Amino acid sequence: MHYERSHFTKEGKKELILIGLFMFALVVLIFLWISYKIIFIVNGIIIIYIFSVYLFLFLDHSQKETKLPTLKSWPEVSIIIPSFNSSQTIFKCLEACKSLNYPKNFEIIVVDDGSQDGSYEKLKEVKGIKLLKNPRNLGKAAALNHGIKNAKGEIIVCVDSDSYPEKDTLIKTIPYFYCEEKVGSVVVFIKVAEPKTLIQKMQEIEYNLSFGFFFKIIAFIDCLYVTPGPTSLYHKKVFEEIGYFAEDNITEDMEIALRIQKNGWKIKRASDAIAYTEVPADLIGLFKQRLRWFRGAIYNLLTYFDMFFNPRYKTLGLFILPLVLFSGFFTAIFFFWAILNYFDLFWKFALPTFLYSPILFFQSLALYFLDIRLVNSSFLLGFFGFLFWLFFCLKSFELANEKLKTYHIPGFVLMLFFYPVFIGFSFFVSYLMEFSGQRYRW
Amino acid sequence: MVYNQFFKAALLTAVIVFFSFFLAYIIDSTRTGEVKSFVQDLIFESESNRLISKFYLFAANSTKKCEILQIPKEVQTAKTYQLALKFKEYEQANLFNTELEYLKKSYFVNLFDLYLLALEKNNACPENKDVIVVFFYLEAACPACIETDYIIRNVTANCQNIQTFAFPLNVNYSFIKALKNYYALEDEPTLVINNKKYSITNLTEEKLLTLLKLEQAICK
Repeated sequence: MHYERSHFTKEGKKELILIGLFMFALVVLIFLWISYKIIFIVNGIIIIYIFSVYLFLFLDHSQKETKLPTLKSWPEVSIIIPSFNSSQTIFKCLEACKSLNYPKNFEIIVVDDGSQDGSYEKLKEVKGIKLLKNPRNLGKAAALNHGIKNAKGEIIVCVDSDSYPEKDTLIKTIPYFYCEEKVGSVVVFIKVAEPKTLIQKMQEIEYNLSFGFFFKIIAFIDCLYVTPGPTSLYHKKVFEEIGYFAEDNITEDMEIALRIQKNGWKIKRASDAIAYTEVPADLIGLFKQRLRWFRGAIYNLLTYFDMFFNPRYKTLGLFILPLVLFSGFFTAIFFFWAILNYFDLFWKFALPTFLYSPILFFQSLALYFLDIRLVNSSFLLGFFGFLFWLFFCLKSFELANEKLKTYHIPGFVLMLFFYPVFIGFSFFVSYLMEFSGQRYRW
Repeated sequence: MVYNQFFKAALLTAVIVFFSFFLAYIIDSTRTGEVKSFVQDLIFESESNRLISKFYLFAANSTKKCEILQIPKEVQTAKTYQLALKFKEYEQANLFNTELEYLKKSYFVNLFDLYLLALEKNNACPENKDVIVVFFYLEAACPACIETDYIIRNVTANCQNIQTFAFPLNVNYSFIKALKNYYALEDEPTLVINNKKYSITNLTEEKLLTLLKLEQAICK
């Protein structure tokens, strides 16, 4: 599946390539020009402010729960599962969906998106599902739309074929649609299904942090800007009013969320409803996934740039959306700057020292890395930022009703130290690809 | 209201920033204090030597005039590359560098003064000459400089009549520029032993010891 990727390849918006590249070059130049101490200090202050906002939002709202109405009659529900070469996981997903508790019958629609792994043939034999087929591989959004258009339900539950909602997901989420007017979507707590590898263990903590801690915070202030693909619920009226999933979009779950918010609908989060999802097992898989997420995020945020700093969208427009776009941008620049600096250090010191004398090289290395006296004072703000990060990571376990156990430690360490660098690198590549207008290949 | 949390976050940020700067100030002061004592000793030695030099002028006709100039080498270690390296490292690590900048300038001025006094003493009393070793290094990370300093320290530790000095080449001090011009130095680490220039390429402890002995150094 090919997508005409990048915001900048859109007709009439190619001039944005120049603006983007100019901005990128300008910020890089500023980074190189000013002292690295200033960069660390400014970066540290911004991070501490953002983390402080999250902290106070969390502390002030953590005890508040949405008052849910008691439903006299439960709405009709349709579960849509797009499937593309998912023979490894789709049957487990169907099992989880079939065993969902709900007072009424609900339909399960599986849309095969041109699979070639024999899953379509196997799915034909499964009873109790409605099986649809796309003529060819059209992408996840097209498959979802095909399913939604054929759904009878008032509530549409979109479930990825490698995700497994918990039994009570429906009865815990559907009342949220009726707690206030114009609730267009309800999201759940996405957790990692059976993490085995170190990378999966890191993602387990990341998911707890993102979908547990941060989603809880931004849901308090009605600023959810993504309805996660693994499992999210939508009111069918939303699709009728604002249209279906954008089929040319690689992160359709973010695009629909922004469209829902833009059109005055609300997105709620059911804090105790959980769905498990499979995650990439290795670093390359994770990097590819993040490239898709981040490129999609850049694309969608630029598409909805009119919401930025627009008081009509309150905290979402004034704070959260600019934060998401610019933090990604500055993370990428910061990473680029760090690379240049380390390259400089490598070229001017490490390599000549190693060539001069390997023993001297290792002695110097030990001196620079082990001598605590040489730690830069401007890193102190970063240290406080790190304490926030540690607190959020630990708190996310509490929110996930889990205890930090010995087997979590390697993933936790990776999350604390490796993850920020990895994210910086992924953002950097994503911005470069978006700015250079490269097509996305699924 | 949400905006209340944004305001509270700004206050917390201000407190953390203030506390971080306060901590940074304490850490930086500790580092500066560490080099300050060396610099103060050096200043004292330089001033004391200057007084001795004046006294020598007063006693120029005495038979004991050269004994007056037998200046004790009190802070020999402070004159070497090690302290200069520490200056550089702390300069990079500190956020508040004003005092360190001042100390650095003061250090090199006084070191230069001591160097001139050593030359003066050699001229006045050629029979009790010290071997003067000056190591011109690069301020930026320089593997050859680290290695050369290590060799100089090892060799001179076993010699009696040696005075070592180390000056950076790539700094913007007028007296260093004057030295550079005088010895016609390029921006590469160089060793000057009793006014003779030597390249540090392939310098070994044995080679240095031989050079020093040729200059009448008394070494084990």
